[in-house]
Amino acid sequence: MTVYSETLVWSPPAELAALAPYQLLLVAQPDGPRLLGRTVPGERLEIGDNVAIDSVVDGVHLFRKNS
Amino acid sequence: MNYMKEVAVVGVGKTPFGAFAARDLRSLAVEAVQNALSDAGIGPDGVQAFYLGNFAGPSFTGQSHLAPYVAGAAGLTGIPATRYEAACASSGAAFHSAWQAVAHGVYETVVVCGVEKMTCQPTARVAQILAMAGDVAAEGIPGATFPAIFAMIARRHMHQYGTTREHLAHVAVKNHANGATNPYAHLKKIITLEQALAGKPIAEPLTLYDCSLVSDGAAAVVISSRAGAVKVLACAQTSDHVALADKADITHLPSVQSAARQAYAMARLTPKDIDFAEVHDCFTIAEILAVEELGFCKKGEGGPWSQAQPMPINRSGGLKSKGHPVGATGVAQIADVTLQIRGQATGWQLTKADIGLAQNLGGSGATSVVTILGKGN
Repeated sequence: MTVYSETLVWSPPAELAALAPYQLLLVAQPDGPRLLGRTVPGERLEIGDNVAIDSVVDGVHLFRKNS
Repeated sequence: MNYMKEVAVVGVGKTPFGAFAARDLRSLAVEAVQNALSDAGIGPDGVQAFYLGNFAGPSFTGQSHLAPYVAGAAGLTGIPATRYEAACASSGAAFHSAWQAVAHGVYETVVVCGVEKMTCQPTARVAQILAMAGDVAAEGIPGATFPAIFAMIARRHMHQYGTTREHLAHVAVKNHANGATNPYAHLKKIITLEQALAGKPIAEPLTLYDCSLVSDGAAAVVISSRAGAVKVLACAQTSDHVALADKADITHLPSVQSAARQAYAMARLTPKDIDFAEVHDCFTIAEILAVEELGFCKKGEGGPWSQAQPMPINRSGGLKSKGHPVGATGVAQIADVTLQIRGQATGWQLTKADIGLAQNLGGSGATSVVTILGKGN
């Protein structure tokens, strides 16, 4: 899976205020639909980075770099 | 499609856009409708149907059943009165349906109004309500606000086509300069390129200066199969997926391209025939995508093209400066194009304004409406 697009969100919805700034990712899968999720806290990813699903928290995919 | 009757915009009415603590949704809409009727020189008894574009009145104000609620206060009782909801394209969609009804001879004369009252809610609640225009489960829960969605579009456009932060900033600078001359604009404030580049980050690469305004306001038009000074040459509405993840290429707005192509074919015009356009710059990147999809430049060249400013785009100030009361925007664009063609855009009149285009977008491209207007009789 690779990062298709990303953004660092500084102005979050109220319920995610404690996480800001968080990185939102659109991730392309080789054989499936794109996934929208966030980067694990503390990491920053760029378009083209290989990623893996680290965990799913409250229904949200959290991605980390696949080294 | 074969439309039997020509349709003209025979009246326009607007309120200023801004933050009006003392005004409610209904008073704004009624003012716009009454101004439009007065401009058309007709009374309520000359109107056969009322179309209201409004995105989220019930969420913002707690009032539902808005079309007869507004129509009754404007004296338009005893006729069909219906609300249209298509996110930020709500009043564009209302206009499209109204135009179809008049073109097909169902009615001779109707009123289309767009209204939104947004500033009565705190910013966090406004963001929450606006997020309902996206896919709430897929996008809202991970924290994909609309600025974040358009930021991801901008990032990908930069990656694929070399669009830069400066290209985005030039759109903001130009629209702020334009809005400063429009007496009805929400924010009459000229900004420099340096200010635009140094704005407070909202969702990178977008800053505060890349984002449109949270506004109150209303606009209305009277359209008729009677002859008028401004003709509706074409109007087309199309749709696409709501969720960004479901779009094949997020730098492309196929609904805008499709609506534009239909509109050009209907009007028997090409992009080169358009003198000026009001496009949906909810974010600066959206204006760059719009000029590409409308065929004013090639795909991927919207950044440099926008910086060069080869034709007037958003002379009103656009959503960025004029303001974006979301349900009002589509009709406000049509009203502004009409004023330009009539030569009545006092203070912001273009020297050549015979044929104008209005492009209204819902969500991240799930609804698109493109309308082309030209000089009538």
